[in-house]
Amino acid sequence: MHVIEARGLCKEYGSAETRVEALRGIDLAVPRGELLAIMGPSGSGKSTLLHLLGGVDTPTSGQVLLENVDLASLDDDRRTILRRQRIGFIFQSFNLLPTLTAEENVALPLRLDGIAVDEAQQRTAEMLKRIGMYHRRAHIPAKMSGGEQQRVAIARALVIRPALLLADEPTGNLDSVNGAQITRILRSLVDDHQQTIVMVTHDLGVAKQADRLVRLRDGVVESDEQLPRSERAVANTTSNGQPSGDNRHDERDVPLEEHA
Amino acid sequence: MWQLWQLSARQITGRVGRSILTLISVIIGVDAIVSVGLAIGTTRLAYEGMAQALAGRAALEVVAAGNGSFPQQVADSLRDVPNVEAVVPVIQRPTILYFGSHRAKVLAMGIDPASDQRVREYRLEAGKFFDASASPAGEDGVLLDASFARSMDAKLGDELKILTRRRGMQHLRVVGLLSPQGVAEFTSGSTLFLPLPTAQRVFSAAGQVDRLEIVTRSDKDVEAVRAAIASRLPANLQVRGTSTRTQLASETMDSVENGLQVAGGLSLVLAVFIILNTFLMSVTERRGQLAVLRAIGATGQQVMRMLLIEGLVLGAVGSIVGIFVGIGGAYLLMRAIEQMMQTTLPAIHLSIPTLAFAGCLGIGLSLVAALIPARRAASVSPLEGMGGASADDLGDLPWRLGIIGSVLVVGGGAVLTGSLLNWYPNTFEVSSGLVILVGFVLMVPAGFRPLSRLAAWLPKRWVPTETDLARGQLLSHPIRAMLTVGILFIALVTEIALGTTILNIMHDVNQWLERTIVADFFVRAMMPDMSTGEAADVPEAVGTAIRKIPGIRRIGVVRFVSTRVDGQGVVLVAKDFPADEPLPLDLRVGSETEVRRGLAAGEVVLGSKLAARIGRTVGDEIELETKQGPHRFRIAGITNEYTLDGMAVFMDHSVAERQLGITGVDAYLISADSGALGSVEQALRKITDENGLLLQSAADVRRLVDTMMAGVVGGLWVLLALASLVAGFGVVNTLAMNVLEQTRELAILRVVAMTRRQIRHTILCQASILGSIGLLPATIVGVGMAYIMHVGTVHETSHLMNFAAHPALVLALLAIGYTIVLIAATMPAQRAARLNLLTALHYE
Repeated sequence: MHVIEARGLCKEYGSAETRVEALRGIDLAVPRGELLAIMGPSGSGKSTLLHLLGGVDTPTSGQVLLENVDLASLDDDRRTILRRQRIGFIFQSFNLLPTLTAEENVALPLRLDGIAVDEAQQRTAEMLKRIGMYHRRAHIPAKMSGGEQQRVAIARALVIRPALLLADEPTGNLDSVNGAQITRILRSLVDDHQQTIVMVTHDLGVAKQADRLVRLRDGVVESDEQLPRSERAVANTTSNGQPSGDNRHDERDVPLEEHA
Repeated sequence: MWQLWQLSARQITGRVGRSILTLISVIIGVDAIVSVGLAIGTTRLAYEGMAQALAGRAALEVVAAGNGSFPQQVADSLRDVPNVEAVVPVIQRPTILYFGSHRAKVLAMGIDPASDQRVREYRLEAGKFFDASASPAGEDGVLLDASFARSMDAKLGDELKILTRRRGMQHLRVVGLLSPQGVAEFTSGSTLFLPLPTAQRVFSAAGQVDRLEIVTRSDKDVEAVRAAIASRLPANLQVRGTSTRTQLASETMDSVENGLQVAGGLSLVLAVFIILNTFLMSVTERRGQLAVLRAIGATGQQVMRMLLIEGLVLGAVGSIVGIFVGIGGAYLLMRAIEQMMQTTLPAIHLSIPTLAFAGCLGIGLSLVAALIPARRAASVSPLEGMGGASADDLGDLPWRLGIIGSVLVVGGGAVLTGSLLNWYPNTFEVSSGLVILVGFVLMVPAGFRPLSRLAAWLPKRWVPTETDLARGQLLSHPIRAMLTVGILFIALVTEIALGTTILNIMHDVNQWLERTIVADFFVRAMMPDMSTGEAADVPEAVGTAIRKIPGIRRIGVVRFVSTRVDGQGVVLVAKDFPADEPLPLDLRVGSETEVRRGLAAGEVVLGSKLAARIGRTVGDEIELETKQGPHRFRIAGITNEYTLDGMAVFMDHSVAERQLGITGVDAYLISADSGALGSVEQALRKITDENGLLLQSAADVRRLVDTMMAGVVGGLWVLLALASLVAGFGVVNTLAMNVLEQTRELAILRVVAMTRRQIRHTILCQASILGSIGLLPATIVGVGMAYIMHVGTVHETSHLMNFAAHPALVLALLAIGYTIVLIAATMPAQRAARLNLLTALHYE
């Protein structure tokens, strides 16, 4: 079964002379436990596709099925609740709430979903430990580095145990070391926890860590290729695709905590 | 909701300045309601309490028409009326009590020791009650409230003195100290009880009483008993309910309350605008955060609830603080009312309904003001958090607001017109004026483009580029601009309207003083209560002594008598109107010659409010209740009267003496020869000192009236200052928000070539445009509002004041308004000029 599936997805913005076709009939299906990377030049429709897959925007035509549920068939509130329970988001600019601590940020989706305080605290603590940020749980985002903020953002996305994790340029705002660290974390989520991830990136080095790479151009799928496992060995690429020189072992075999 | 509440709490505490501004807005609104409500409520309660404490369980009372004394034997003829439980005789006289260096106004109550406890309860803290079997010549003891006695340093067994008309100072011994209880607690402090026989002797009223109090067997019998008693009474006596006594005081409070409620209403409207503005800014500022919340699964409802909870918390905290500030305000207001009404009021009565109403209103208004921003917050798209959509698309909101504003202006205008034409109750005048104001403000976003072009005309001559940039930013946020303009507009309209009204009232009072205070000196026992006219008699011997002073050109007298005209409680003012001095009346209808002739011929002059209330004018007749029964008098003129709430009937003293048998003197009005002012004052001072009386010069009286006015007028000026302050906060808030939003744009401008000075000018231009749109129209509307308030005041109080616009005041307030706007803009302008370019260029 596919976790997420797009069928004939079209998205237009504006009208008449200002009309822009951002997506023109995208068909895509992502099975469980796959890390799918989407690449393409600016304006190719990468982010639009991600927004439609995440249910934060609605297609002009076509369907998005999340675990066989057509997102278009849901009203805004039900779509929000589905998003809250089944989809995790990671943003390029982290988007942590600046007034909340790391712990509070991670607990937020659980609390929004009405999970009891004790359970929320327990799951939050577990997640922070998994990504190695437990010791920084009481800090606010302004007191953390970019890499730490993104790890907290990943924890926030994972705490709800989502079926699908959507990552929009997750390493775009990070330096090479932190970028590689985040990439390793995402990879291990797929390998160790069968997490399904769709990731938009400009960075070929990051994209090569994926199981599959879809290239978009002018709103259509230009290519859709399975990446050989050997390509992923270059795990410690920099954010600009250059090897960092630190590929002593396959990072996918290391527990998530150790990536931190 | 806890996690969201945590977010809200951080927002509130993280934005201290803005949270304080919102709190101040709520506090001012709630404070206005609490202070006016408590002060007026306490004053009303004091008067009612006094009447109730004095009436006790009595449901009915028998009094002489014109409130004179009558034979005590009348009581005997009423005791066998069916369902009458008791008929209790009372003498009640205002007087002055002296003990050591203390001097206090008191109400002396002569009570029948044998029957009085069937009406009033007496709980003794020390000493004993009067001996019911004591003979009329027995001990002249008095009972005093224990706390009042302590304030006078008087103890059981001490000898006090009270002032009487015919017998001068009378010595009385304290035989008992009473514990305050029930409603009597408010007023018994200034009441002194003495046995009826003693009262009859010291007040020279042998065999006379001022009132018979009737206790019925049950409440149901009251009307039947009233009819039965009425049928047995001689023509000059009447039976009435005990509640009618406070009517005049209650009406005086109505006038004060109306004026204060106008000010309170305006500050509430201002508060709503500021709260709305603050919350809208808060939502704009947090759009990114709200979008993230939506993206990670917060529903629109959850986001809306979060904002509403913020409104609720700020409203609740503001209301609680506002209630405490309001209690302090009520204290100050009551001191002003005391000065104005020349009376002593009890401690503030903390009316729970008033406090609850103000608290609910503060919270309710905060919630209402937070509702629109909360709905906008709920509609924030999660895409905004992902950089996929632009914020703040207003759609046709400006036009919808414009339509609502037009409806309010037209509707309010129609009600106002109808009210001015007396089609609707006059109470609608000010409220419809407020509705029109709000309507004008709501129309601003729709008309903002042309208005801002006009407002930009002047700064454009000076700094064209900066002005265009400034206008562009304002145009992109018409709702925020509207709220700031609204705050400035309403604040200045309020200031001009209240300022004009204050100046007109002060002018009118001064004119009234100039015309009515014609004597050089006044000798009296005490200032009369301004609502009832009650005052202690000046001993007759004093008049004789004054007449012997050389250098006196004229001695006039004045006597206040509480009575009724056409069922209305009024005060008859019997005074001299010498032919060779200006007529001491502020005539509004009738010529001086005609009025003089009429007064000499036994006609009367009515206070303007009374004339309006009973619908009579010059040439008509009124029926005045007097000791000898109802008397008809022709009306010779109508005058403004600031004391006695305008419910006064002026009559020549000699006519009153002759036709109505009015005796006694409340005050002597003395005019001295021009060369003998000093010696006359000296001689008068000697007499008044010896007799424990007050001596006032004309200047003293003017000062006294000034003091009476100063409290209320001062309160209104303070309110105006607060309005300016709050408006200033509003401008700071808006411009600071604009700077925040323009951070990136300003940085780009700086990189391109704009100097810090030019950046500052841009922000100051924004302030100037907002100021012009809000302040300039407010000058015209403010004068219009002042006129509406004037007409409303005239309808309400029937003081026939002249209306005058005060251009100097308008210009001064406009200048102050612009100054506040520009000062308020300085801080955001500085902040904009000092932006760190690298940080600002990456600002999202």
